[in-house]
Parts: sequence; C-alpha cells; structure tokens
Amino acid sequence: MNQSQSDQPTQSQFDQLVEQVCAVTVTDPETPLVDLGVDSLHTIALVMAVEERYGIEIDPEVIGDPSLTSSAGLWRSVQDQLAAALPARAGS
Amino acid sequence: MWTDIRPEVEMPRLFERGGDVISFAGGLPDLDVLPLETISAQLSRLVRLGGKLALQYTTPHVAGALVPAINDLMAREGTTAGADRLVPTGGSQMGLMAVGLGIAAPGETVLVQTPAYPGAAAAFRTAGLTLHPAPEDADGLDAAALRETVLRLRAAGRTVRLLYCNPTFQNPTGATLSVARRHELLAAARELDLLLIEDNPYGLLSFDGETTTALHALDPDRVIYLGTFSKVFAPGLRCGWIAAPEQLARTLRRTTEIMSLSPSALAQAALAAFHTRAGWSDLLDAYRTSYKERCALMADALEAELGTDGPWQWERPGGGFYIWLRHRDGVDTTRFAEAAAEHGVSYVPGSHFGIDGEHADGLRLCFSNVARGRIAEGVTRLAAALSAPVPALRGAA
Repeated sequence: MNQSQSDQPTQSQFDQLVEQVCAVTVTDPETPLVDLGVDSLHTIALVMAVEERYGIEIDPEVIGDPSLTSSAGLWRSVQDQLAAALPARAGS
Repeated sequence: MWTDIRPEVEMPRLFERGGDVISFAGGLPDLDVLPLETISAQLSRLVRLGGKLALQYTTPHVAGALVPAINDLMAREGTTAGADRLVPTGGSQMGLMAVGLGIAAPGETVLVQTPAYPGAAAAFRTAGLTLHPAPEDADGLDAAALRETVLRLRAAGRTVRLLYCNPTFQNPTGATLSVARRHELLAAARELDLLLIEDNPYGLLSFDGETTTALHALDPDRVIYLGTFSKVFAPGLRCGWIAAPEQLARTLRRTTEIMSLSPSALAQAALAAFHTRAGWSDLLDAYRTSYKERCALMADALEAELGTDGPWQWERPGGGFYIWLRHRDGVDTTRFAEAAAEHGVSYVPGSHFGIDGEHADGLRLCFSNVARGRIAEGVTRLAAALSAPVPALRGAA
C-alpha cells in the first residue's frame, strides 16, 4: 500500500466491500455481521477477500469473535495490520 | 432385496484409463483450464482462516456464502432460488438418488427421457422405481403423447408423478429441447400433476455462449432442478445442489442428511471463495472454448473417416460433452466394442442409455477430456473398428 492520506481507504469504502461480498446492507458498521444474517462460512469468505485486497493476514481468532466481526471491527483489524506492516516496509 | 439393480444397468466403467487406449468413454471435464495456483492459494487461506469450521460437520443446508454463487449460475438460464429452496448435494448423482428415495415411493413409475443418462436410471432403479420412457418425437419430449402415456399408465394402476429429463445438451445425444417445447411440457405437467426433474450439468457449456431458459425458470413450483459444480468448476469437490419447491426441499434435506450426514463445508466454502474473487464468467469461457475446439476436431475427423452418407449418422452438438452416433440399419454397437478395444479406442455403447434394451444402435463419444492431438487418431481407430465386418454378438445364435 503506497497511498497518500487522501487515498486512504475509509470505513465507508470497507462497508461497500462487506456489502458486495456478503450481499447485505451495512447501516451501522458496529453491527455484528451475524446479526445481519451473514453466516460463519460467509464471514470466512469475506475475510479471505479482505486479506487479498489489502495484502495482509488477519488473525483467525478474529473470525470466531462476533464483536470483532462487524464491518467496523474488521476494518480496525485491517488498519492494525497495515500499521504493523509500515515500519518493515519503510525500512526495506 | 428391493434395492437390487439389474445387472445390465450397472454403471459403465467410464473413468478407467490407461495404456495406449484413447478414451471417448467417460464424461470427464478438461481440468487444464482451472487456475490451480489461485485455487491452491485460496484453499490455503481458507484452511488457515476457517479450517475449524470448514473441516467440521455442518447442517444439510447450502451455506449462505454459496447461495450467490449458485444464483449467479442459475440466473444465466433465467432462474434463481432462495436458500429455503436449496439443498446441498455431493453432485447430481446424489441428487438423483435423493429424489428417488425422498420424493418417490418404491414401486411407482418414473418417466425418463431416453436415451437416458445411465446414472439416473441406476439411481431410480436402486430407489425401487420402475422406469418408463417419456414419449418423444423428432423435436424431443412430446407433450401430447405424454398425456396419453400418463393416462394409460394410470389407468393400468401405475403411480406416475415424476418425469426425469436432461433438456440442455443432453447426455448422450447433445440435444437441447426448444423453449416452446419446454412450455408445452410444463403445461402438460401441470395438467397431469407431474413433477419434472431437470438435470442440468451442461446447460452453461454451449460453444457460442448462448443459453436456453431452464424449465425451472418457467415454473419453479413444478420442477426439481439438479445443479452441479462438477462441469463448471471441478468434479473432485463433489458439490452440487437441488433447487426445489420449499416443502420438497425440506424433505430432500432430510434424505440427504440420511445419505451423507453432512455436506462438505470445505467444498462449499472453497467454491464460495472462488466465486467471490473471480466470478464464473472467465472459467465458463475457458471451458466453452476448450470443448468447442475439441468437438470441432472430433466432428471434422468423423466426417473425414466415416463420411456423411454412410451407415453412421450424427449431428454436431452446440455444447456439452458428447457426440451421439447411430447406425442407420440398427446394428447393436456392442458388437464393435471388442474391435474398438483391439484398435485402442473406447466408447459407450448405446445399450447403456436404454431402459429396456432400446437405443442399442447408438454409441456415445465424449470429446471433453481427450488431448487435442489424440482426437483425430482416436477417430481413425474408431472408424477402423466400426468399418470392420459386423461381428455376431457373443453368445448369439
């Protein structure tokens, strides 16, 4: 990821990815996906797509925790992973 | 016991290969088109992230993640099905067995489009059903004759509620029932209170990308639709589905649960993930291109070797896996099987596709999995076998 500040993906854009993959409408990003009717295999498919999109690896434990598998929760995981990868990339 | 099947309807050994034999027998897909590196990476990711779920037992439902992937396929033939109408299978063979066991009752009669896919005939017989040919004319299933047949069978005390067909790029003939005929067939089915079993493994494999409206699209309450990923992705995942009216879907779910306890969550998740990432269009196009090329090579070779005015008659299909040859004088093609083996080529004799000894004058050639460079040689070998003097049937007087 080599994006300027203005190009940084946003929660809103992430919501769109969730809606596209899971065929749901995200009205509140903090709503657990399971409460939107997204089953566990669908959540896995979403996280697979997220990993590939952002070039990161998400902790599998995240998937088993409904409080972390909201659109906002997953987006926080993505941002954490991207931030953790920054120093290594800056030094390479 | 009532599940005994007659020896002549044993499944032909289609998938055995080896030696120098060029096999035109088994209907195997051409997996050269699969993007294996992508699939490998996705399976690895899937197991790391969701192995504890994907490798676990699950309930007899199509996973929510797979429903859009199924509907993406079905919509190409004008139809869809909600999750409440979907039942997971390990491929359509399981779907056929589930329908035979769960919807029909032992002893009742199922009408079957013939020549018929032998796996369907074997499944229905194993479920204790009696098979009767569905009447056809030159344009396929004949609704008017169907009315007469059903009324006659019912008058004779037979229970007739089901009609099995493979209406698009049929196995083995490659024929497709016209949309007009589909409407007529459904009108007759409503009038006679018949359920249609629409087996549709090849519907998206036309050579030109065109599709034909599914029977299920025209009357989803009158059709039990059998779908499969075996021909549009790969058979090794053993994953398919049934789309049926909700009440029948509930019954079929119970039956499939008894048959297999649980569908493969791993297969469902892998297919869902593939669809999420790439959709189906590129893979379908790759399969179509492969089969179009192979079919043309086989048909051109058949024309060159057997001519168009000799005893062997066939039509170039518009899709699917097969070319169906018939002998003009009705010779039983089983007679050529030994000569074919001696020449190093195999095919499926037409008698495998009859339900009571008919269609023995046909033979099925499958082009889908033969190496392009071997098709012409295989047809040359076949022509040599078919051109030999007609031998007597072994054991015949």
